[in-house]
Amino acid sequence: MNSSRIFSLYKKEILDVLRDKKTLVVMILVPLFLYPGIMMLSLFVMGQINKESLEKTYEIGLCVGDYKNDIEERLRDETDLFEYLFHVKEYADSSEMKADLSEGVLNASVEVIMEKDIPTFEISYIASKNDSATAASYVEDVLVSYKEQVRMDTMKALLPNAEQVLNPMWIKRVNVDSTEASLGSALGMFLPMILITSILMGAIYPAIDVTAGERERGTLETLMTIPVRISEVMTGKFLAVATIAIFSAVLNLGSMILVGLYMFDSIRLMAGADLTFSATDFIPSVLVLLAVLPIFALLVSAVCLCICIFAKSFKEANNYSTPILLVFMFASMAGILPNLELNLTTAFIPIVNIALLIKAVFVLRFDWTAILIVAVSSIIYSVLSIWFMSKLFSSEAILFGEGFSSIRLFESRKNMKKGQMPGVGDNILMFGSMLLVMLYLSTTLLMRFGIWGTAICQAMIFLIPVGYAWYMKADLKKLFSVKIPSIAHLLGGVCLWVGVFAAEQIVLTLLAEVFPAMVQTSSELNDSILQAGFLPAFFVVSICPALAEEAAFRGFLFGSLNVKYKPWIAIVVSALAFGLYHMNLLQFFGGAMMGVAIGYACYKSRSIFVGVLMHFINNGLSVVLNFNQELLAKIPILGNESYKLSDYFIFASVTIIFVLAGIIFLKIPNRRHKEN
Amino acid sequence: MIEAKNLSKKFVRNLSKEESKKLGISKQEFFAVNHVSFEAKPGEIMGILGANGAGKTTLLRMLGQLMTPDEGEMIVKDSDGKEIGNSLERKRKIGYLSGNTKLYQRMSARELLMMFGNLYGMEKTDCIKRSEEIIAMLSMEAFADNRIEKLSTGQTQRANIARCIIHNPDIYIFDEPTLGLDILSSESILTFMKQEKERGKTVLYSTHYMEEAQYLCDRITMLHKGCVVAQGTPEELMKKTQTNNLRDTFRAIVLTEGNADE
Repeated sequence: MNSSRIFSLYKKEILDVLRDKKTLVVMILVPLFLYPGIMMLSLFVMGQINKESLEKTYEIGLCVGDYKNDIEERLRDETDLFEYLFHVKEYADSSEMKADLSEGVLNASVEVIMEKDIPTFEISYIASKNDSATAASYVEDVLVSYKEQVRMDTMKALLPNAEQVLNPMWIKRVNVDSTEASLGSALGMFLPMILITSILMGAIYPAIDVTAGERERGTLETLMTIPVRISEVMTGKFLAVATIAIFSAVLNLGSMILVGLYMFDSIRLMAGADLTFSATDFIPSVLVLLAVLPIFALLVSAVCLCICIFAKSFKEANNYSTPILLVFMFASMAGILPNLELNLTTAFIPIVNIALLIKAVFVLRFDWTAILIVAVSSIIYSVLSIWFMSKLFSSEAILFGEGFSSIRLFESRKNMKKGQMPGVGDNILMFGSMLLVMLYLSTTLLMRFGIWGTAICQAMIFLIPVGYAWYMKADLKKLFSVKIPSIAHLLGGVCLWVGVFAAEQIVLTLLAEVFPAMVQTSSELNDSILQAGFLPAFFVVSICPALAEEAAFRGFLFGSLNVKYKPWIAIVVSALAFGLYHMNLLQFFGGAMMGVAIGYACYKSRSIFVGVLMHFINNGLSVVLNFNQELLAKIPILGNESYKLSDYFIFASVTIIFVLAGIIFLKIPNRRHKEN
Repeated sequence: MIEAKNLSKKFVRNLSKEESKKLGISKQEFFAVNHVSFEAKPGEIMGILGANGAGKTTLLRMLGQLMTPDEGEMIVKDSDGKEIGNSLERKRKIGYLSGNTKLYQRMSARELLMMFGNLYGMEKTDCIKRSEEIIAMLSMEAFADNRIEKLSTGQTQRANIARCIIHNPDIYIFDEPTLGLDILSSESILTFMKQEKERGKTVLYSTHYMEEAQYLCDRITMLHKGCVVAQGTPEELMKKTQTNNLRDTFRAIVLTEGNADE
């Protein structure tokens, strides 16, 4: 990649977008005038309605016999307290009064009905009329206080200490939360949604313009005649879209802060003096947002670009924008869910983590490790996706690509060629759906069905790739490397596992020392599994993943990549995907390391069963040790609470010896395969 | 010099309802370019002739490194006769112009030239010098600073030529460059090609205007349904089919091919 060329491309994209009036209008006018406009208008309308109901004069009809004087006096007295007035009209006949009420001469009426010496005051009103309903509720308030007064007077006549008898104690509820925090939690509810969608709006138009727009205008073909790499073109576009998205994010945030301050002043005026609040308390929150939102804008831009690059035309790209918008809105609703909070696990979930971060910083809770993870993981996700897209798509695919029709699932099964291999689009779609299962379904299922929810999840992870491969008539045996392995290869796999397991201990303990908080979240997860008992846990945790995850990662992903790319690329990519799939930083490293080992074993042995065995041993061991903590303590070194330097040395030598042994075993050719 | 050796490209086409019923599939692969070979030497204009859909554009896109061939290979040599294997390096030696290579509407010709020069890896001072030269050569002074969207069709075409020669390529690939242009605009392009040929450049030129080809081309490759149906100088081809203009030659060759097909 050449930075001067990237800059030149970037400059071109920015210039092209900035000289387009439509973009400027969408980018600047919307956040600057539309949002504040809408907010102020709604505030104004609400205020007017409120004011009207407070200042209005209501027509009340009375047909209450002896109570007339008391009630009329009370209704008149209300004038002193509130700004609304009652205009009282007396009736001798209640049917005449009801007629006036239904004609709209009166807003509400009060009639007294005597039942066994107890009078019932009946307030009549018309529910469909706003004024009438309001008048009725005001009148009710007056009558209730009248009732209280009458009761008190009667009691006082009977008992000297009537007040204490009637009200032996006071009960008070006091919110000790600071005004800032209460206001912040309210802000945290709706801010994520508004900010996330507004950034998306800022990014999606330029993203469509620089991809589908450029293709439709025919300039993409011109660009491809120049000796520039796809990665350079994509990076230039990515940076340009991100710049615009960041710009619009900052504009949005700024305009929202101004509106907020304005609104706050009006709220304070309305509520009176008791709402003390210092806006300065939110300065750190805003600063964190200012730092994180641009990073989030990178992610949004990357996602938009990666999807829009598929589109053949502006129209098609616009069609894709709706599902993107829905996914983002759905994920940003995480801010509203009461018990979902930013922690070291949720910090890894894209989009959701930003929503939770916004929510957290506005209740003035700053978990810097989590905030750092949100920022770093967002950057990694966006850079990875751009890098991935530019590596996997040739200029031809981008120029004359068939768009989403290259995904086999959109083709009817009868058109499938027998024995074809999944392509990039297929893998992205498959892992996209698997990721969705993991992100949104797995926790739901776990909560609903306990450990068997995890089993359902694993079944889906097995069925998605196998079903997909069946649908596209792939050569299942070849794709999933279904071959009987030789004893030597199985042995090699086990050796390799021992070696990498030892290496994992070194890496993971070192990591745990750097990020101690991470260990807690990963051990908490085991609780529901431990409660289920040994056999179910063993089935769900070691047998299911050994089959399902191997089918997905070493089968579908590795198998299809191994056809098109060099083996090491297939091994590394499938291992990274395997690590990411665990959704936890600690397990990411463990998963990726084990992924490389299993990938290598499968590549060398050409049999997925070697991988299944390694995976089974790995997960099985953790289940056995979890259920028999004493057993763990008995194992030399591994059972130690903390490792000494000499222990690390032993682990390192075990790693070297067993990895080497594994590689040697795996190099022994399998006689059965040669015959094929 | 640019040479094609058995170049082939397959596309997928949607079958009609009757066909798909008969075959049980709705899509079928076919050769858009079917094992095409030819060679264009320096100081020569090679014409690629063919009807619409004959595969001219696909062939030239492969030679312009915009598409990768499914089969076959190509040889690209620079003016010193050195062979270039890398696709990016090849693009550096090729100037590619077609009806599909549009210009950025919101930039001026001068800005475009500077940007493209930079992307070709030229120094800024060289770039300024070269673009002034080109602007003078194509008499673009009057509109060089106007945005492309404000230019007339002929002016836009001149700007397009300017951007494809900014890096002083050894090989030109012109895909129907005169399509939809008036007589004066197309003449300026034809003259330009002739000039460049006389300067020793290799020119590949596709068209379905037979008169232009007869006037301009040193040698001709005729394509029909992706296959080469005739190759040679215009005179040779006319002699072979006993016609006295290229239009009739084309008709004679393509029609007999077409009949043989069915």
